Amino acid sequence: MSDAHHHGYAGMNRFLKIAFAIAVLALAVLFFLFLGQYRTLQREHYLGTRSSMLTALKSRGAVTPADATFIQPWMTFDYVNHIFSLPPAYLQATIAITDARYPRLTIEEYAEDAHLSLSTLLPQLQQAVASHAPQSQ
Amino acid sequence: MNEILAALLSFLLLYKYVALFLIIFFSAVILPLPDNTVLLAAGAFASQGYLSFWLSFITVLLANVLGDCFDYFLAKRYGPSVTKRLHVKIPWYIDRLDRYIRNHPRKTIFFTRFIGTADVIANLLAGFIKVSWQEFLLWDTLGNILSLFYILYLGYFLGIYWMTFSGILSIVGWIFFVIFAIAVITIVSGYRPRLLTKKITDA
Repeated sequence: MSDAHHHGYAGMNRFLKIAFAIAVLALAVLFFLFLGQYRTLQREHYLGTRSSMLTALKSRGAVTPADATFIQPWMTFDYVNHIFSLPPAYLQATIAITDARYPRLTIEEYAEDAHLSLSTLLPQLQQAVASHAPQSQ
Repeated sequence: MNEILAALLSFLLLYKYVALFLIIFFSAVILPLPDNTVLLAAGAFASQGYLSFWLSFITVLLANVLGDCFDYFLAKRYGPSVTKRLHVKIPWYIDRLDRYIRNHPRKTIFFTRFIGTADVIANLLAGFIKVSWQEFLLWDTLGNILSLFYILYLGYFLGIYWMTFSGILSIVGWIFFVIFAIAVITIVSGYRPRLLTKKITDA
């Protein structure tokens, strides 16, 4: 083996050792981040006892109007209507949406086109969804 | 939630399976999209009855396999000629990885399906070193069936809680990626644990 090749090989070995050290360090950081997230979930009672988790997960697909804060700007009106079991015309009438694309329109898009701020529209929507509860019961 | 993910989720809600196919296909080809989070969301949407679980699964499986095959054929067809034309000298560590994949194509293709962007690298290398297409397709499909099913089902299982758990799950994904990187570094450096070396010598 030539000297130059040998030196190159040694250099690469040094590079690999550094890469290995960085990877191990990254693994340690990720492990601490994981622990942090785990503790947050535990504090917020998402990770509790086995029975409480099973009860929560049994109703994982079900969303009630009380969960209206779950609404996000990226959601479409069609999706919101679907998960909260709202009649398609309900939000259109309550929020007075005139956009022809409704309900295949995201909340963010609608806010932009109607020159509304999301901080105004989202609470309005949440209020409308929450107030639909007595009618549906 | 970042803007790209929000845009992808809106796209998914608007165009359902077409959007799911396009996101997963381009992510499998090479684009660094948050495909695992999109899969988790698709599973959650399926648990709410907005998407069909099995149709979503078939769509993502098809998209991922096609995206992987695209990478494989691209590297197989143009890889050697591009490296020759650009006078790229293959470094010795790529040579070692190359040798490892030649010796363990099934294991490499199958297990990299579970590790984020590692599958793109494995697809390109498999194409470059001309692993047989039948073998690539078989192990790619098997790996994708398991890896896609478990993420999609996890989303289905978590339902409305998917957003709450997406942070911790993405950290778990990164942990797997770093473990994979450490494994690659170990393979490239040629390091063998003493215990393993002793066993081989004894045998």
